[in-house]
Amino acid sequence: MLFRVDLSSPVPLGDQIAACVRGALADGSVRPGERLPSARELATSLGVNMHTVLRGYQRLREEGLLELRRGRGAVVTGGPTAGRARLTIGARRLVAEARALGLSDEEVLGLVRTALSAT
Amino acid sequence: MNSLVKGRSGSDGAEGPAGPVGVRRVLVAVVPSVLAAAVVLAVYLSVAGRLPDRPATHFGAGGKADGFSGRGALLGTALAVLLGMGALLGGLTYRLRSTPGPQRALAVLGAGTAVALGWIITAVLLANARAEEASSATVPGTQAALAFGSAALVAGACWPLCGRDPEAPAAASGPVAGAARLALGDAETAGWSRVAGSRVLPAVGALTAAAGLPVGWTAGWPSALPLLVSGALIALLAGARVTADRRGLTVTPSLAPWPRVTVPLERIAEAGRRTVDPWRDFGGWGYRAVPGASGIVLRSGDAISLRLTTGSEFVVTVDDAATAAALLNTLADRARRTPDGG
Repeated sequence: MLFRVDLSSPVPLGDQIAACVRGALADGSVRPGERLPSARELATSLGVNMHTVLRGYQRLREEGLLELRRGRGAVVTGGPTAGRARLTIGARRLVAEARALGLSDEEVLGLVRTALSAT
Repeated sequence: MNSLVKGRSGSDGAEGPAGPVGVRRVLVAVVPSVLAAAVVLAVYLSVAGRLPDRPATHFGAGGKADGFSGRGALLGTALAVLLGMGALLGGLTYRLRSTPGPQRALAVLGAGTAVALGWIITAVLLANARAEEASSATVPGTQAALAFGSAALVAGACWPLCGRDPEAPAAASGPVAGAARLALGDAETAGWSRVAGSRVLPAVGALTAAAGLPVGWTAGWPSALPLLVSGALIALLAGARVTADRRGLTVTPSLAPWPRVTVPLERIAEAGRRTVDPWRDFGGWGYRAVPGASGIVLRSGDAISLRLTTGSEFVVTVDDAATAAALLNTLADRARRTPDGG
């Protein structure tokens, strides 16, 4: 898969790396069970700090998209990962739009709760 | 032999496939085998009168003789193995001329193997000549240690003899304007990485290792070791991680950090994708070299195809090769704009 980071962007590099993986999962170019390059490999590849990559991978693990195994690197979680990746991207888009409108965190959560109770 | 002295300063376009460096490396691979064969022949002739009719040719535990064969057969086999190996490794070294790194390793390996074999055969001949009768001949383990030690020394000495890897011609043009590119901003950096698997090689590895099990049960585990180890190695090397980034194209086994094959951006004239048929195009799977092309071929289908500045082709079978090729073209452009790389 393609990792690309923009050094001039205000988005932290780790988040940019996480976004690359999410996008690749969502469009199916990376499949469940596939192994991503280790944080060290990817860091030398892109010329960034290893901890930057690890921050990105950690974020993906929190989202349930990636499993980090000591010594074995990063493996894409099995199951309907592509759907989960799309959902995560949607959630981030929701938050970004809400922030742009000036909504508080509570208001965003309220919005989601209302949507949940409506179904 | 002139080319040996002249080095790579020749005016005949030293970077050509059969340039001085290539000749030198073929000589490094071949000459030690020929010399070892000559030494073996000379020693044989000088001790022939004292050799038993059926000299000991195999030595078991403690260096005691436990296998015997005819005198002529011993000499014939020894010379055939040494000269055959020299010819084989010389040919392979010549064919690997588009990938200088592995070529050097192969030439040095050939030199070292010739020394080890020559040493051991000579030790066997001398042991037979010394012994009262063939069955009392012994070759102590120290001879094996000496053989491998001297092989390592010669290999080490041959490494610099191979000469520097030929550099890309300075005027090498980059990818043509029509080649696929990946749009990349000036502040952007990108890397592409993917595991390329093989369905055939893991099966071969597993079968080889499995064949070791009955051998181990019936003949003892030490004799099964080669099968088990080579099976595990084949399975281990069956998957490759392919990386395209600011350093060029890198291929490593997916489960181990080496051996590593790297094609730096400066050596890439243009990257593209093609479809590979392992049997028709490369005559098999693995690390292949045919005239004009080499590469890592683990399956059929989509592959990155690099046109190198030397004019030959380097191929790696991997999915989504088009993206990797486009990225390599972009990065190769960038490396040529800023000679220090991006």
